[in-house]
Amino acid sequence: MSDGFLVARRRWRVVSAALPGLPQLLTGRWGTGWTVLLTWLGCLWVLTARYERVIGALGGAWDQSLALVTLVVSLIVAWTWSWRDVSGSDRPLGIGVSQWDLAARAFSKNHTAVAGLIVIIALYLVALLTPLLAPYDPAFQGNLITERYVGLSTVHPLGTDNYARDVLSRLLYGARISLAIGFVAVSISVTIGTLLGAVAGFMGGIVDGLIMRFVDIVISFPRLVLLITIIGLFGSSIFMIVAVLGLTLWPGTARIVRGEVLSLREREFIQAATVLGYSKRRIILRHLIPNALGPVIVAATLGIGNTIVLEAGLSFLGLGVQPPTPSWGTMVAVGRDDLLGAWWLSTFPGLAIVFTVLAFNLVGDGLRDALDPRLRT
Amino acid sequence: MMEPMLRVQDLRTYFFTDQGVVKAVDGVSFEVNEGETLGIVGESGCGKTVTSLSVLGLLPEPPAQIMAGSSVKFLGDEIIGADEGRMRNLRGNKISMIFQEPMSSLNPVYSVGDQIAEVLRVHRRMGRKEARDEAIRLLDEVGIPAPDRRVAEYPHQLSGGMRQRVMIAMALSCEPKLLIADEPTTALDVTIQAQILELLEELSLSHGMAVLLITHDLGVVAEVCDRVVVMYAGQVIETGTVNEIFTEPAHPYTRGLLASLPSVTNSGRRLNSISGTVPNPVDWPRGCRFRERCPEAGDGCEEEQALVTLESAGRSSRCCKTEAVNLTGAG
Repeated sequence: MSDGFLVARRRWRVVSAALPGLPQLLTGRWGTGWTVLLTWLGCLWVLTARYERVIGALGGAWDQSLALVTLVVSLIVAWTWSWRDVSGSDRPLGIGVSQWDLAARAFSKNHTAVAGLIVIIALYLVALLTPLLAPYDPAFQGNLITERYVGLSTVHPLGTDNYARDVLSRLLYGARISLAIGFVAVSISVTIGTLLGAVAGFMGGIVDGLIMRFVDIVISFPRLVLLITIIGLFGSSIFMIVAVLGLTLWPGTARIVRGEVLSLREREFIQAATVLGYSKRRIILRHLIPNALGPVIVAATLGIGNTIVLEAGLSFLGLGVQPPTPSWGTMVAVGRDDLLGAWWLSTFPGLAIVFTVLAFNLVGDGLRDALDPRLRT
Repeated sequence: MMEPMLRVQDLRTYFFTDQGVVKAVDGVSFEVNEGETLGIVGESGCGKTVTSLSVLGLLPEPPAQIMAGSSVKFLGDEIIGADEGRMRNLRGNKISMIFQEPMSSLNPVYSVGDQIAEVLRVHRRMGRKEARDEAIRLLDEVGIPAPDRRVAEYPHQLSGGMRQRVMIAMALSCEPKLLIADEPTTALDVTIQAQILELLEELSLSHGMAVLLITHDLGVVAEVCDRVVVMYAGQVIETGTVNEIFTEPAHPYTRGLLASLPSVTNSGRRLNSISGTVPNPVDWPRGCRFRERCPEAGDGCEEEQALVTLESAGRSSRCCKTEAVNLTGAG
């Protein structure tokens, strides 16, 4: 390496150490730059502005501890990411570029998708940091006579609702519920769907027939009716909603994976794996599933968006998350009666739903393009 | 006489389909001795690949079925009907196989080093570090330059010839006794073909590994094989050493194949071809299966032909005219 390169690297390292993300922004890589910079500044702001709560979170409730861990980890990750990024890798250029690397490169050129990804990262960070961020407790009621329906103000940035609760705080806590439900439900359904789809596609014959008929049965169940029945029987809890959504959404993934596996199975590298004496388990888990993962990731990303809308719809109808636990759907429902007098009640949770789902869809579409098998060689 | 390493006897692999019973391999017998290279030659659709897949027990049943009476003995043990566990231990470990299409024979999501290391970890129970070092050594052995860097390369970054070398490295990783190479050079361009064949020959010598080379290219056979089995329509129709096959082909089909090769003596003229195509395997013709395309067909060809042993032990032909032809050929 030349001296010039080393000097330049030292200089960028200094910049990076002072303000992570800045070197990337200055060299025109705004996606990475903004993500790192905003994470760094945001977390520093929380650390200073909410100092007492950060201290109080030590040994606090589990969500406070989680927020504290998130805060520390984000700071460390943002800083080291930027540092390692400007340091460059010791790996020679062009060696060991995997298909995932190629997909990541294609994705990073898609600006709308990158913007969506930044929004999603920000949303999850905010959701995790909520106990440190939110100005009030979501269930805290102010003076019911003087503090109901207060408009936007410095004390209540997004106003208060019919019970004199702070809308911003409820919105933040609601983000936790919506994002968690979307993420967990989709994780469950993707895991089940991928495994069953891969087994069905690889084994074929009777196993395939049984699994796919089971898929048909699950798909033909009207999901809403099933949800209402189960909630009617067992009462509504977040756990129930996640379980029902997770256990009914997997057939889509199973079909996608089965289709992929059916075509992969005929490829020579799967034959080669058999010739090398690998077990069926190893072939399915290590050779088939990683190759079928592209469409699954796309479906999962879009699925999180859909699940969030579904949950909001259920909560709007009063079937989902029960008050006083805040959820975006419930908040929209509550504000519906006061739409003319207190527009902020429904508007902000509504916008939150729209932007979140939009972000997931943008990222999903970007991933679909980036993982397009036609780009592979 | 020494027991051959692989003895295939009266192998019959039929496919039961809606159109009828496809007798893809219909009574094939041959032997592969330790360290030798045996070529199986024949046109497309004459059962070469099905033979090799049957040996490894890789055909899906149904529709395929290896008929009763077939026998494949590897190192003296019968492997037809062996349970899946035993076959798995054999595959990749004692018997390896490389394929025609190096472009799609490697898993696109793992680096080549990881793929070679996986074989070592599965069959030789190596640790991570050890397997990686061995992978680098194997890449070096199959002639890949800068193996310590190439080990991190992904299949899509390598050329066809390089990929075939990686496949060979994977096949070699457990020091197999037998390597089945199914058209290993067909998808490669000519200069690379020669390099890969040379590599196979070299490795076969240095490792004492037998090679069963399946090809339709007589040029390849002449270059690397010790003995040859010529297949036609699911049957063995001629066997012999490379010299015998090339200098005194006994069966009219073999002669047809040889005549259709370009050579110095017939340069500038049109190449010969064998007219017609391989008959439908659902309904092989009665009698000699080559009769309809044979320029020498005549009396006796309506009879079912037997594989007749000729002057030496490994030399045989499935043609009723063989002796007569030989006499005139000698005269």
